[in-house]
Amino acid sequence: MENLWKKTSVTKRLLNFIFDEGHCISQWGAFRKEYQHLGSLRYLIPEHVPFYVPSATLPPMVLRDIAEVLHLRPDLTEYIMRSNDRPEIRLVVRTLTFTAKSFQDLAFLIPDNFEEGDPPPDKFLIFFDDRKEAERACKYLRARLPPNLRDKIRWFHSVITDKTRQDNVEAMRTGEIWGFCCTDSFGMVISCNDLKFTSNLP
Amino acid sequence: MDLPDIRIVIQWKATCDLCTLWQRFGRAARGAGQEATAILFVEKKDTDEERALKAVRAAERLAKRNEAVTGQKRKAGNQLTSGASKRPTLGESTNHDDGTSCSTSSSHEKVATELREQRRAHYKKRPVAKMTTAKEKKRVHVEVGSPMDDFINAAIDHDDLIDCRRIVPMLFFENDKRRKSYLL
Repeated sequence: MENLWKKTSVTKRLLNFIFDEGHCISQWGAFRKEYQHLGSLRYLIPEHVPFYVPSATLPPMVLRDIAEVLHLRPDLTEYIMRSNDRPEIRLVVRTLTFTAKSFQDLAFLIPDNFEEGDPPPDKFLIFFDDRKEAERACKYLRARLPPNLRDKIRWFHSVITDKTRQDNVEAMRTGEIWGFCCTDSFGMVISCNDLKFTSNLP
Repeated sequence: MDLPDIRIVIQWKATCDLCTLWQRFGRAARGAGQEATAILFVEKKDTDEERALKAVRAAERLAKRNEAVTGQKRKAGNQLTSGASKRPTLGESTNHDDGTSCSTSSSHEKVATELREQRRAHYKKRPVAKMTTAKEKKRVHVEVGSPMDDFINAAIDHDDLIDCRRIVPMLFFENDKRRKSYLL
C-alpha cells in the first residue's frame, strides 16, 4: 500500500483526500487499528493535496482527536463549522414501560388489529446495537401484522449482502417496505456510479 | 444514501453515545419540508428516578442489617441525598408551543448560563468514547454525567412540563457558536 503513494503516476492524479464520515476516525480508533495509521498518509502524499474531513457530528473532543490522528497542520487547517441542529425533528425520551425483551413498547408503530388495506404506518427506522436484538424486535413487529404483510418490516445489519441492502433501501423508497430494525450498517451503502479512480482503504 | 421520508427514528436503549445517537436520529426527515419524531427508549436503570430509588433501597437494606446486628431501631433513607438531586437543571426554559427552540427565563438566566457553560467545559474535557467489543457493550450503564446521561436526565425543567432536550446536543456540538450561514 505504501508503495502506491510513492508512485508519481498515482500521486499526480490525486486531487484531494476525503475522509467521509470523519467522526469514525476518532470513534472507531480503538476498533479499527488501521485508522490510527492514517496520519502517515500526510507525509506520503504530495503536500499540496488537501485532506477533507466532512461529518455531521464533530464535537470539540472528537475534532481534537481527528486533528491528532491525521496530523493536520494547524497553520494550514480551515475549520468550516455548521450547526447540526435539526429543528424539524422532535426529540423524545421515553422510559421503557414493558420489559425490553418483550418489545411491547414498540407496539405503537403498528396499530392494533392491523388489516390489509389499512393505510400504511409512518416509515420508521429502529436502531439497535445488537444484531440479534434487531431480529427479535423485527419478529415481534411482524407478528402484529397479518401474515401476507409481514415482509413489510425487515431487519438490516452487517450480515446481509450488499445486493440485499440496495434492494431493501430501494423497497423502502418506493414504500414497499415500511420499516427497518437495523444496526449502524444501515448507512453503509455506497451509491456512486461514476467514480474514475478510487482507493478503498482496508 | 438518503431515504427522504422517514417519519420515525427510534433508538432502542441507551447503548450508544450522543454522537452516534445524533447520526441515527439524523436519518429522519431528509426530504425538504418534512418533519419527524426521534425517540430514545431508555431502560429504567438509566433514569435518575431509578438511580435515586436504588440508593434509597440500598440504604434501607444497610439499615436493616445494622438493626439486626445492634438490635436498635433506626429510621433510614431520610438523610440520603441521591446523585440525581444534585444534578444541574439545564432545561430552564420558557414554553414554546412547537417545542423546537429553547430560551431562558430572565429570573434564572444567570444561573442557567453558568450551569450550561460548566457542562460545555465538562463535555469538552471528556475523553472520546472508544468503541468496545459487543460483549462489553451489552451490560454497560449510561455513565452518570456523560452527555448521553444529561440528554436523558437533565434536560427537563423542574415542573416536568417543559421539555427542552435540544440544550444538551446544542452544548455538546457547540451549535450555539456556529454561524447561521457560511459563505465560501
